[in-house]
Amino acid sequence: MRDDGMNCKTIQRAMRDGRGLAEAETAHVDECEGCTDAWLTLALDTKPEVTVPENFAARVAAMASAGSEKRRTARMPRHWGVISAMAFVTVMLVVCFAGPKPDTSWVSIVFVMLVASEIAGLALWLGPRWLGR
Amino acid sequence: MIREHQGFVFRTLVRLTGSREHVEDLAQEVFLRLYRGMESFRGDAKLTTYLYRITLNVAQDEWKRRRKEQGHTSFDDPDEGWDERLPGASGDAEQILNSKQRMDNLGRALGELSEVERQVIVMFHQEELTYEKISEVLSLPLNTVRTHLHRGRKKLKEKLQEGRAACATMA
Repeated sequence: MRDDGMNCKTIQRAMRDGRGLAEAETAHVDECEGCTDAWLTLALDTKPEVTVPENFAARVAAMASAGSEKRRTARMPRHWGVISAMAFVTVMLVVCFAGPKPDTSWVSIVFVMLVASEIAGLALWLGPRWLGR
Repeated sequence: MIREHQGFVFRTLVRLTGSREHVEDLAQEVFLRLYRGMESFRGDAKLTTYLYRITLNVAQDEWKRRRKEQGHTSFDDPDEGWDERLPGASGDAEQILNSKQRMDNLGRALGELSEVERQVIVMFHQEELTYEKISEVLSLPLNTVRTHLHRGRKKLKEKLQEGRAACATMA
């Protein structure tokens, strides 16, 4: 409390109640550490009044569901592209290993594995690019 | 969900960006980002925490965009209605003017704080979030949140005192 004849508690109660402060009281708030602190807390606690348009929630929900539908559709070709690439690689590996092996050596196995992984890698890399993502 | 949290989103955006301009577009962006994020939401955090994070990010992006556009950012709120609900606002015209001026100064001082200090102050005071919740939203240790709040309030007081001193000199 400052020695200006003002009562901090009375002033702070007046601020909390939203009563107007007299000039001398305002001057006191400016100078008194405790009252400045109380004013600052009250001012920061005050919620700004906002007006939310009535149809805001419905509008956003509609936009969100339209957006997610669009994304789902766009994702489909990539999904199927990757699956078909994987199926192709699997078939190729089965044919290579299950079929007749006239001259199977470790070099040919490594070669086939390399080609298969390159195809899979390209499918994963190019799939999203072709879709513009 | 939107109806439940739209008040928080609008209020926080207004306070953090210091303007009501485009606030509806920004709030829309917040909820659309939330919807998009929900597809990959793993549930390792509460959905409200996720929403708070998105709100802060959108406010931060807007703040940066405006600063880039204008070279500076003003925290003056051109809309009316603030001063009537502020501490010590009722009374005669002079008192109301005084109160409005104080709030304008506070708005400006808030704008001069660092991003994280402003976020902590708004979440703690305006939205009444706990230290724990703020720490979760900002991914900061509890003590760091306390420090930012304390430091932010201290800076605000200093800036308000500076502003008053400047006014007194001009008068």
